[in-house]
Amino acid sequence: MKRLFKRFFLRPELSAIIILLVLVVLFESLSGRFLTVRNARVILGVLPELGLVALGATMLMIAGEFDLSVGSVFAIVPMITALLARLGWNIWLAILCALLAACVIGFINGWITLQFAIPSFVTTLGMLFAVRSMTVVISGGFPPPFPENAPEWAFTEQLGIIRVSILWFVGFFVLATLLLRNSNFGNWMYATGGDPAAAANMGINTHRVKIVCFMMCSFLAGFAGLIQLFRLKSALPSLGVGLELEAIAASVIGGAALTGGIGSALGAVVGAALIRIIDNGLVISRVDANWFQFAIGFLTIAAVIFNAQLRKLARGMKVSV
Amino acid sequence: MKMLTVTVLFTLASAFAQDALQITFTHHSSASNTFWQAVQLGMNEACELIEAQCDMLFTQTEGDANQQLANIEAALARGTDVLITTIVDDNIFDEVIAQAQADGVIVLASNVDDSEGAAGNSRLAFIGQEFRSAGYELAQGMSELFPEEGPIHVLVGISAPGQNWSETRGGGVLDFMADYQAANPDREITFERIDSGTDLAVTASRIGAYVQANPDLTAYFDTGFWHAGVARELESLGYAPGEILLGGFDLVPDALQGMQNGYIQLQVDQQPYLQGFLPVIQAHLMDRYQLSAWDVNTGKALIEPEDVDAILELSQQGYR
Repeated sequence: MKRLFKRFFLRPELSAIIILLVLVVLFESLSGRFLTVRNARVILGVLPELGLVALGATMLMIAGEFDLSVGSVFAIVPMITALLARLGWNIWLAILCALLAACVIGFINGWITLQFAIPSFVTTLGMLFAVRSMTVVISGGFPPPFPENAPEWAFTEQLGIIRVSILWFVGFFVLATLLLRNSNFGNWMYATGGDPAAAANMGINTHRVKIVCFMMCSFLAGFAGLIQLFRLKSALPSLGVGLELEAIAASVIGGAALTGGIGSALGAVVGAALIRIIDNGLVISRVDANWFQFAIGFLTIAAVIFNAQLRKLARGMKVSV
Repeated sequence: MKMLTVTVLFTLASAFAQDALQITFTHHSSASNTFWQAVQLGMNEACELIEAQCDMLFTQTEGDANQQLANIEAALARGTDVLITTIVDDNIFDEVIAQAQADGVIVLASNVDDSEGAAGNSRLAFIGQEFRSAGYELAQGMSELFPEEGPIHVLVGISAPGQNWSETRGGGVLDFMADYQAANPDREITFERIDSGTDLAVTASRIGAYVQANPDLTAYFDTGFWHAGVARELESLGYAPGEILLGGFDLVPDALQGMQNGYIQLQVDQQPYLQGFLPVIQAHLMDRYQLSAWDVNTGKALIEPEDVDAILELSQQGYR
């Protein structure tokens, strides 16, 4: 039993799940309208976008790096898709091309970071500005029209209280979980982020692992942007501004460590859900929504402290073998 | 007895809160944008008059249409009776507004409308400025201050590329410049646009750099009020007032100060207080007396430096 508790307390996403449950109860008791079908539909409609970005950011953080350019990649993928569609390209080809561009941006982020041994903070900060500027330049200021033949059914069609985007989100979540928990590559990611020197000594190609993680992170950010394009039906150049910090906050709240080697796909999902629930709950409960950023900041710190205390508690538990 | 009184008062207060019209104003700006303080003041004072329960929902970052949509959906989920919103994009809000109206919510647009007006969105009315003509008249008014001889070079700062309000105002300025160019075929007249940002410091720095590279700049038009930062930048770069003409929108205190210093020559007032006050009153009349909604052009008045003293105090109080 004690062993079970110890394993439970060591789960990185535990504190976020507890906070999530507390907030759900709090918002429902304040508003009486939080746990309604309609509001669930609202939250589930917007969750996949931040959730996918947080999923990519978490996997990259597990490998010991992070990416500040995700908000800009989130904007440029819909922009490329809409512009190519306007030029008469087949919509699926346009989507494929835009997602490929996202992967290329991820590759460049990783290659520059590792080739020149500079912090990913610097590389991706530069990429954040460069890609945002490219988005504005290629759009010419005006958002291109939403493609008429766009396959909404494949991305954002409403199915009862959920949208198709939730299915994509769940699909990517399952894939990420399998990758992290049941594959060699997942083990390499944890090893690379936890102790890169030891991982390299074990024969893991840490550079390759990190570059793949950079590319997955950019791909998921771009895919999330695509979902937002289909939901909003507008490829604004300003999509995703500030999203990078929300994604990092979601990852950290979900238990990922900035130092690498710790984190989980479930944590990313819970972290993203927490942010979206706070955003929605403050409005529903008629609390001044200008407190949103305070709440996120406070929770980020609180979740990390809470996690650290739970780990300390778990490590202090004596389990007989 | 005390307990009974408290219970009765609590019940009455709850009943009042249930009956009061619930009005939500959502828009695309953050709480740090001073323009919206005047709109909020107008909304709050109207809400006090009609004893409605009102909220204004800001976004975390300037121009975040996605968060604005999320705020609208959350407000509808909590059961708001009236939705007042800005329509900064021609597509994003169409579906949610149509659904809200189908659910019996009164929806009014304020400050920014669909670029196609009522044809582009099912909102019942628009209370705000007609952007294109305001931009056109700003440039037309400023052209009277252009030098009578020599080349003219104009820069138009699009504060939020892709957003209706900014693009349409900028489009109005550019339309006038095209007409001005056509009317003066013998003069060298050039004009271009720049992504100028929605932050005083960012706009100041970008236009400051532009001026270094283009010392022949005649005038800079901003589609918001961020040229107030440019006024300070020009002063620090050693330019004399009026050496580069500055014009833009909204009577925020920073812009009025720029006019007093002589660096800003012309400003368009769209009366933000009315954009908060009037939709609330309209919604109240529609709800109580089943009156229909009506459009209001809250203004395109050109304000010159000599008008500033009379306006400054009211601006600082949030009414202009």
